[in-house]
Amino acid sequence: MAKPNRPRTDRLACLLHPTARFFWGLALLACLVFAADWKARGLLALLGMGLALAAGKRVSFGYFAFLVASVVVFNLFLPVGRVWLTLGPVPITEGAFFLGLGKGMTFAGLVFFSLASISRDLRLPGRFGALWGQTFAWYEQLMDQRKALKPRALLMSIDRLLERLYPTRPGTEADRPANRKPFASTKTGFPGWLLMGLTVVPAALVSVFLR
Amino acid sequence: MKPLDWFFLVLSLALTVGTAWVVLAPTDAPLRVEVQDAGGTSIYPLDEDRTIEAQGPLGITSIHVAQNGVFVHDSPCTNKVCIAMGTIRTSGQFVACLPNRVFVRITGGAPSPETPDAGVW
Amino acid sequence: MPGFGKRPVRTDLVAFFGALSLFFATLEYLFPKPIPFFRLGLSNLPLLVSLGFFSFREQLLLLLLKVVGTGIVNGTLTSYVFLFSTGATLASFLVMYGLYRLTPPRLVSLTGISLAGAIASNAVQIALAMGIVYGPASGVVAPWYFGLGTFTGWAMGWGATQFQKHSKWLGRLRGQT
Repeated sequence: MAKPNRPRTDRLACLLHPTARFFWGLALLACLVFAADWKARGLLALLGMGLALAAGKRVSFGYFAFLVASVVVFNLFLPVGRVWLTLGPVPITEGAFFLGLGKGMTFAGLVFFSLASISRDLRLPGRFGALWGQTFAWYEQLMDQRKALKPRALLMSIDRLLERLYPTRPGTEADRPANRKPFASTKTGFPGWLLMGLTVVPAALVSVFLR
Repeated sequence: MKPLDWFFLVLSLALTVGTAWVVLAPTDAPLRVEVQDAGGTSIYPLDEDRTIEAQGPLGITSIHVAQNGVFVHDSPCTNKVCIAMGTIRTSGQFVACLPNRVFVRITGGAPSPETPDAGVW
Repeated sequence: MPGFGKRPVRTDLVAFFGALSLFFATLEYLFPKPIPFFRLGLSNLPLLVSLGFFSFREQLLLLLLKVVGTGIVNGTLTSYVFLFSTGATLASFLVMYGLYRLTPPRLVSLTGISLAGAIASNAVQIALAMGIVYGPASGVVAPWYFGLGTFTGWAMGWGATQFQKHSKWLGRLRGQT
């Protein structure tokens, strides 16, 4: 019998306000994007992976390894630098390999930092923000009730679910998203600021000095 | 299905076949600069300006790639024949610094009728 | 037919369709992808179905909710995935909306509109893959994108058509709007 999946805890949610968390992620992203060397990008991507795991996100190592490998492979078709070996008509070169590696690490790192820093409780400003709040409320209800969808009677089960959440029959009322509890938001305390400092400062140093 | 439904279906299939045709069609390889020195062989695209430092027994031979051409800018040899050979631009052309054992040639593209069929270095 | 912003935006309905789009996007995110970045397009179903009764402003808001919302829900808002999603969805929407508004119903159904949207979406994704992520050599995926896109575009269009025909919920909603 398969073990049930352990629920993943977002350890960062109790330390960081969603907005502070968003800007923290942007700062880390900037460090990654401005890093010149593939080693620096690799280190930052590893940091990002750790933070994404701390945020309780599911990180598929196979997927990201495939992503980096495929970027490297496509870059090898544009040979640059010392030839390591020749595979058929394709020379495998040092420069193309490390260029692709750096690129792949950058794309993986972008996803990791994004996973770590984007919280579902992120509030967007203005009227669009209010609309997003309503949307997310409906989305949570849909996700809560997704098991009501039956593949063998898909259309009927979708119809029933939609009618339950957004009634259209005469005389019925929708469960208004205004009744949803407000977005939970932690204040960023000292541990949160410490976390941000301990990640952004080293990331910036790695980005600037590891060349 | 309606008329434009068929049109977009056919268009999508045509794009599939068309892009497959382009991908699989044999094409001339892009022009590249191939440099052989004491460390082995290096390859660079001809359309990107750069300076290449080739290591030989006498020292560094400096090779410039600029404006889709290649020339030896500086070399530690005595006679500087490699520098006098000037700029090469087409596939098969080469420049060599024999004392420093550095050989530079352009590969890829369609071969020019003037280039030799083979070379031994 | 809904006009271009003369009527106030029905935020509740747009929010619900936005949530549906996110819901399908989440389901799609869980499917293994045959080739990198390839999207089935499930999250476009609410966009397709709502073409008949949302105004341009409402459609645009729905599109924004879909793109930004997916980025937030999946945590990819500040990554290249968001760029792919935005580019592909915008291209697809402009083509589908333009086709729906400018072409008489006797000439095109949701199947054709969905196919046209899929072509636009895949063209943008290939361009982004070649230009930004993988480089020119990644053009080799183009036949796969267009081939799989033909199938998914047709399937989504067929699915949307069936839903329009048989959904009692949608029928009542269209009657009220």
